[in-house]
Amino acid sequence: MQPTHTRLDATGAEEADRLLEVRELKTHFFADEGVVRAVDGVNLSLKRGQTLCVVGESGCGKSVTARSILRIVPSPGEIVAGEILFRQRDGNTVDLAEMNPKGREIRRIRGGEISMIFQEPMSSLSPVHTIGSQIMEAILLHLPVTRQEARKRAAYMLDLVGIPRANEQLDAYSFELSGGMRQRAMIAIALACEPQLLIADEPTTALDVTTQANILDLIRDLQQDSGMSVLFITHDLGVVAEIADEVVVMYLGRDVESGDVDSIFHEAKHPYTRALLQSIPRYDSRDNQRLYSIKGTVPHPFDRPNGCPFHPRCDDFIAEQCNRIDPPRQRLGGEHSVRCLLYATADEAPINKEMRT
Amino acid sequence: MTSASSRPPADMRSDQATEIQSETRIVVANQWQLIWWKFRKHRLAMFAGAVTALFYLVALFAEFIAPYSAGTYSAQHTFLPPQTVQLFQQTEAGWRFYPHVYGHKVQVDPESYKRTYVLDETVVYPVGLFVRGEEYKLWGIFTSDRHLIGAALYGDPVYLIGTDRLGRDVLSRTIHGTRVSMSVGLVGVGLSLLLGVILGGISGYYGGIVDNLIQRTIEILRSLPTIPLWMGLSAAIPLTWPPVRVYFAITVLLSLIGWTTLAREVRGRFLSLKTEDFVIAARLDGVREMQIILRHMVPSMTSHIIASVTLAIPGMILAETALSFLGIGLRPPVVSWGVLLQEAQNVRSIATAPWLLFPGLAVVVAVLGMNFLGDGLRDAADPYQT
Amino acid sequence: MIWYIARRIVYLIPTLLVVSVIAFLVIQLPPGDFLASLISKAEETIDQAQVDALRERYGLDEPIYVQYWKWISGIITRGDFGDSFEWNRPVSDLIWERLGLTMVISLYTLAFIWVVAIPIGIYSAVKQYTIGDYLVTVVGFIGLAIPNFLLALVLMYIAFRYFGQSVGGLFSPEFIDAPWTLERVLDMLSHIWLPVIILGTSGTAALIRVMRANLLDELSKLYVDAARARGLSELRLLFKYPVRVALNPLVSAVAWVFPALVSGSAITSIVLNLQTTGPLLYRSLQAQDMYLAGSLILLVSILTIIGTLVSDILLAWIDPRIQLQ
Repeated sequence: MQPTHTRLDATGAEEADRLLEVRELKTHFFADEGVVRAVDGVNLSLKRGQTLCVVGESGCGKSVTARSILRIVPSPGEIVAGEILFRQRDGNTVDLAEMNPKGREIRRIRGGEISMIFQEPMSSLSPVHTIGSQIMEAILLHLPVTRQEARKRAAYMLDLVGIPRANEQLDAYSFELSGGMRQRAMIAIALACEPQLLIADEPTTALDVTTQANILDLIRDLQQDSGMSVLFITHDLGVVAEIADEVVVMYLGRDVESGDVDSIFHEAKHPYTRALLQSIPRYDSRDNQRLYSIKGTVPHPFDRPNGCPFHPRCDDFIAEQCNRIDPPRQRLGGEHSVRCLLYATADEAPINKEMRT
Repeated sequence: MTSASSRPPADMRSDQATEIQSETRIVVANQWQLIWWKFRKHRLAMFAGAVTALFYLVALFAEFIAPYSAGTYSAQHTFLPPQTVQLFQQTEAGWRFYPHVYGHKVQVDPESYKRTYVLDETVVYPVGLFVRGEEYKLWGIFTSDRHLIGAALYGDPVYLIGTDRLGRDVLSRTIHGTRVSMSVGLVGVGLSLLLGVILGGISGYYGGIVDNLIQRTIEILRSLPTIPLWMGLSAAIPLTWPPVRVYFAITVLLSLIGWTTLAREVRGRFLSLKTEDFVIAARLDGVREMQIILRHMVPSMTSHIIASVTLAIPGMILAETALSFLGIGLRPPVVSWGVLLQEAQNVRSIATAPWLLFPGLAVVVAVLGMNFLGDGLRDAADPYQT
Repeated sequence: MIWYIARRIVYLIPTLLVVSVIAFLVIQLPPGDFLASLISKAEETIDQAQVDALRERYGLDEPIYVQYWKWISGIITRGDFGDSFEWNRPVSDLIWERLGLTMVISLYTLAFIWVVAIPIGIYSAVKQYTIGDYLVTVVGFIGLAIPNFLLALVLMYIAFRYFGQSVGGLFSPEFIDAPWTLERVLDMLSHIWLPVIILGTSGTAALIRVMRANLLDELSKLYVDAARARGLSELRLLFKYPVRVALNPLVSAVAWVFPALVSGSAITSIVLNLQTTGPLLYRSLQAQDMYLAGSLILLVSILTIIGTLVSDILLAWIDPRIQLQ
């Protein structure tokens, strides 16, 4: 097996290939009742042109992670630690976590270099502005064009995402479109300025199954044409299998396991990942077999368990260990890493220590 | 590793135990307990609730709390300014606790014959709590001559907020007016509620043509300028009617126009409840319609209705005050805040006796209190929402 | 849009019918035949022929619906509102200028309310739970709790006591009965601010709360985040999206603020002695001059209904979703 590079000694070529790297990101919400550690040490790495899927149950911090990257975490949420390294088009790498969330720098990146589409296409378009005006707004903000050119490009974008009669639909309001069409319009807005990275926050969850498939196909086609990277957030492992190159599994604000899509689906290590995979219904299961479900529920955000956050629900719980020791991130080979004491080496290997499986 | 994660397991177990306890407490708490817990957090609303309660207490025990009856007058003390209560008196032995007010001397301007009062510190009238004074009958049953506050010696001219043009005590009249003003709000809203719940309920529950008809009626009523309409209708109340009948006529008039807001609220609630799972479940179980309404729907909207009622009362109080102020609402000898403010209808009388605006202060405080209270109740009405 | 307006206008017909019936009711409510009270009040004896003519004109011997018909058809076809017995002139001579002034004051106040309430509401929502927000909330509640007429009395007292001037009226004495000239308009504008502030206080307080609540709702909507994710600056974002959407309910609020203003101006005008419909209605009610009173109630109601209609149309114009329903 090829020796893997730690992030510290990455070669120039690989570094240039890396578009986004999130390191130990922590985003906390400071509510009256206490601090909610929505994201509590997440690591992500995304290469140019690839698709990274972030998977997890609701409430695991996937959306907050996505919003943290664009610095649009709603108040009272704040990034308290970590880095979000992003390689801009000009070749410079910047730390988004350090930017002023209302500043000019991040606003240039939003929509220009990184775009985002959201879970509910119904409410992510303004009810009182036309589709066209919202696309043109993005274009005029980031590209040096006139209004006429912007309108032309807006029509082109609508056509590109498969909205029929694009020129007329520019003047349509969002309530005049179906859910699938709205999501297409959102994608048109997001891609209007040819971003390097598209963050898709459960873009198909609110849509019916056929429409879901269409939207997924659309995103994949556009990605192939433009070479952009996609950070795809979902709870649907079926979707993951379909589109992901890399996968990060999240639980309670942590990346519990990450790796390329094959190793996650075929060599899953973390008990949580394995449990998730087991809970997918299969065609070949016997008739009276009950569908596997993970015991317990996601704990309330105010009382996170000590030690490994998953231990109260874990089938492989090691008494006096899992409830006390916070498992470190462990490299398993390739990009595959896991946070679980089952795979800890005797000396509690640090994150970057190389290890062969 | 955080320090918390290395805590001994024994500690954790007790942690879990208390957690379970607090969880069961929430599980068994019923809707009203939850509302109360949420309301209690709203400090301003709690305070406003206390103020409102105080106003209704004053309304209940007006005869006892007021130093005089509403009609008691003193021809020698017209337009007497408010007297400040002095808590201590200086004697040769030093200061002693002796609540009192000073008397006034009358000076007549030799040219204009205008009477002015000059403070006379040589005359001292002691003031006390639970003093003997005029005899009264509380609620027409209990006879007593005890008053919460007043002149310690029966007959001394003690007028804490001053007197009006007939030498009547403004404080006492305001206290007596509290009963009428606060109850007009209550009775008027009661009638509105009856109309609103019945019509709003029918409208929201049955829908269709009935709903359309009632909604149109509400729309029409809401687009009318209420005060000119009230003026027109109440001016038609015959002058010969006895005060009690006028009182009821006015409350009926107020609620005839005021029910629309409540009806809208009730209808909205009915509409949203109708599609709730527990109502559908009850219907699928074959529960009779009337029972569904009374057992399942009404209880779950009571908290909202209480909140809306609280917010509707101030409107009634303000309307009654306005009408009576103009002289086309309640009429003397009935005393309400509006009737009392009639005395202060022009600048000249206010300039002579600004204290005549005191009932206005009572209006503002009562309305403010009920608005804050209603606001807090509305927030607490949905305890499951954060 | 034209269809929408047409439909709204058709909806008006039953409303107008109800209003006219109520106004007619007010005319009929006082006990007894008003001609009887007219005769008893008249200084000189009125000859029988004249009484008979009046009887014939108002259809007094005929059933009530005929009387209503005579009254309403006279208004619609000839603009004849009947005669004011107190003034001994046709009602229509007395009311138009006062109605116009009522409208001017109400519209002025409406503009005042909007200009004050919108920025304060935006501030209060954007700075939710700051000291400024609490201050706005408390002052707003107090504004809601003070009856207009009380505020008028207090302000008049302050002006009288500390500035030594009486501030009632809409015109300086020399302009009260003057014909309309530019000077008279300017004179009116120099007097109108006090009634506008008095009338506008509670409406402003109410609309600040409406604006704040709406904007808070809108600020948490996804389309705001989506626009932010497009790279829009915070200020442009605020005004282009959430504020724009939050203004819609404010426009529809005109439908209840305007009647409340016209309604409230009745009392305030009496206290401040303005030449609007309020004092005239008050006097006519006291004098049992019922044709004048009924006509005033009818016209003031129509005024507010038109205000409601205009606000509906405005709302449909700025919110494309409305027309669809």
